[in-house]
Amino acid sequence: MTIIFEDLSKVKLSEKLRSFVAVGAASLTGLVIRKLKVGQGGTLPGRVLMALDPKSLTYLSRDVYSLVVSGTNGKTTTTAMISHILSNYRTYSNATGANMDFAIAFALSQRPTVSCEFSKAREIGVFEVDEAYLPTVAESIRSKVAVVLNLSRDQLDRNSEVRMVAKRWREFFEANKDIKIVANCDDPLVTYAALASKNTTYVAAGCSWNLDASSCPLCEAKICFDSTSWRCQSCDFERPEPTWNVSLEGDIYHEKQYQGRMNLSIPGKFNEGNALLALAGACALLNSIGEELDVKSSVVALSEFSGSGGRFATYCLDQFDGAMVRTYLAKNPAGWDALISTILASSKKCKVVMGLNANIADGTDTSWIWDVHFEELTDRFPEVVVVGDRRYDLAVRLAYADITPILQEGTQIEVLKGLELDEGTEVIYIGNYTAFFELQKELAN
Amino acid sequence: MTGSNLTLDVVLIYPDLLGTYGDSGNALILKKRAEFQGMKSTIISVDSDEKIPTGGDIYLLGGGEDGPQNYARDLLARDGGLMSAVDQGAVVFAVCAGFQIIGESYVDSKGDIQPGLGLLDAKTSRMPKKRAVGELVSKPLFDMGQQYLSGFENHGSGTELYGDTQPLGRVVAGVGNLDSGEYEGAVRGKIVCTYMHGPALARNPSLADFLLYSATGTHPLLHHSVDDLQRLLLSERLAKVVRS
Repeated sequence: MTIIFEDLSKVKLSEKLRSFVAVGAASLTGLVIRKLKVGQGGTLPGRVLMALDPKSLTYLSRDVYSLVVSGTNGKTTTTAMISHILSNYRTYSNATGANMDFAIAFALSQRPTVSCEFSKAREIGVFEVDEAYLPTVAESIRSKVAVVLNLSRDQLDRNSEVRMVAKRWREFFEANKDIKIVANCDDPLVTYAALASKNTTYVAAGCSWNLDASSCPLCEAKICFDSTSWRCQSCDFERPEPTWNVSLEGDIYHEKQYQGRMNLSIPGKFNEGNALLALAGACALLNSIGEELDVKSSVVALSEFSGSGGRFATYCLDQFDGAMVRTYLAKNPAGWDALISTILASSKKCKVVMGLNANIADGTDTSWIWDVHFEELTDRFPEVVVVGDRRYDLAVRLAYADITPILQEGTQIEVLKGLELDEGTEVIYIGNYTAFFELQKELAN
Repeated sequence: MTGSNLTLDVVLIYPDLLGTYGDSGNALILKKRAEFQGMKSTIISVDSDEKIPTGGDIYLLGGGEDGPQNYARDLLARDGGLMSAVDQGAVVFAVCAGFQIIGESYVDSKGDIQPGLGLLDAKTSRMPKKRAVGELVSKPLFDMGQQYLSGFENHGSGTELYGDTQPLGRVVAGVGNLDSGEYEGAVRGKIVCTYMHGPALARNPSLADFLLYSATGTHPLLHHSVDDLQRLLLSERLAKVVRS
């Protein structure tokens, strides 16, 4: 039986009922998880939802104008920046960082089902998507825009090779020409994928890691990099001209028009790149629905953005002496290298603590830490405190970089609170995925 | 090692093609351990558009993605530097994809049989079961001051040895060269190969010293604090595998 509902959608009754039951069961699971405080409630409820209603992504995303964000590093931050820019709209997002199809389905299932005063307002979806899931998710939710950040080695024990991901994106972009691509032209692998579409906006978002793009994805010859550009030394594969860029002083330009000055409250050169992609992404999404983004006010709004899920957040360790810790998340060599540059850019007196785990979510092979350029830290930080299940791996790596590792056992919060600090010294903590979220949980308690 | 026995040149081959799994760390470990012994050591990193020098002491080949594997083989065959160095008695340490391409033949990402460089009596073919991914522990078959070798393997093809190529170790946990076999790695003269990432020499300092001895004829004399850390890492890894 097909029924026409108030929203004029024609849906089979069985489908509507199925979705209703699935959403109910998922919401209940989420509620229980949050009550029991065993998680953020984004993963299991989503799995329940998809198991009961495999087509839920398509069904639940109807009438939502969606944008997806994908890439190896910066997904959560860029997604949160876009939501922040579009906060005047009714937006849905998987803000917890769970980024596979089921998590996005669950985020969408939290749309109110009854019409309300906003019913005429545009509904917007801003979703971060795991690199491998980008084609499936973007297709299922009929995404209008895909923002693609960067691609580099990450969790090689379970992920496909980086180039396979780039190839799959390329095939998808080629077959789906309606999707507006917003791509970081400083990353050759992202560009390789984005070039398959004529509908691409290029953004000069920066890319300090190019070890995975040293050979051309088209002809395998060497790619030559200089400080601002790159090109294949054999074929005509080269960096496309961007329409969004930011000057060394932080002046933002779109199609050569000045848009304001970058003034983020979170650190890191790479976050300026994320912010530029967020502006370009938000702009493209609004264009796709016939509206225009006020870029200048969005630039101002971004200066108030304070990070997402504890990334770049500072916490007070001890209420008496006011010692602070700033927490950074980095999951792979490109991420660690970017944070190492960030730490070195600050002249503050600080003590560095590093946490390394190798759970399934982290990747169980820690070999990648040998690709991180810890040597950059040696002069300024002759000692680093190491914690986490795989602290011995990290200790050996640091020792070979002539940094003395201080091995510490116990929970990370105990280690942080037990640090002897000179006055005015800030603690910088860098952890990989599960180490970082373990600490966030400890800090929240 | 040139003349005076005081220098060690470590040649890292094509880190841009064969450097995906952190194996470049092996070069740093060899250099530093040579320095602990009072030698002067240099890492010569050779990108895919550069010529391989023939006067190095230890040549390193790492793991890489399937695509660049054929390209690296073509370049190595055309360059000829590695083969000349081997003829002159250089040490080679090859890991995973590097191990596969220096054998007689291997299978590429399309499933085609490709000729290797023929430095080893070893043939690599697709393993019938799924990819071997996880901790790999073996008992070395050579005297090297370490009872067990530990690493992380991640490979879809397996390697069969024959002729005068010997395995490096007998597998205690994990898959190793073949899922139907019991051995890990390969040794032929001064060529040593393994499926162990980690990188291999981070967890296995004795294997590093075995390569250094092979290249210089000198045994490690000094105890260094980093040895203690590496032993801690090795025992933590071994305990973890035994428990699971």
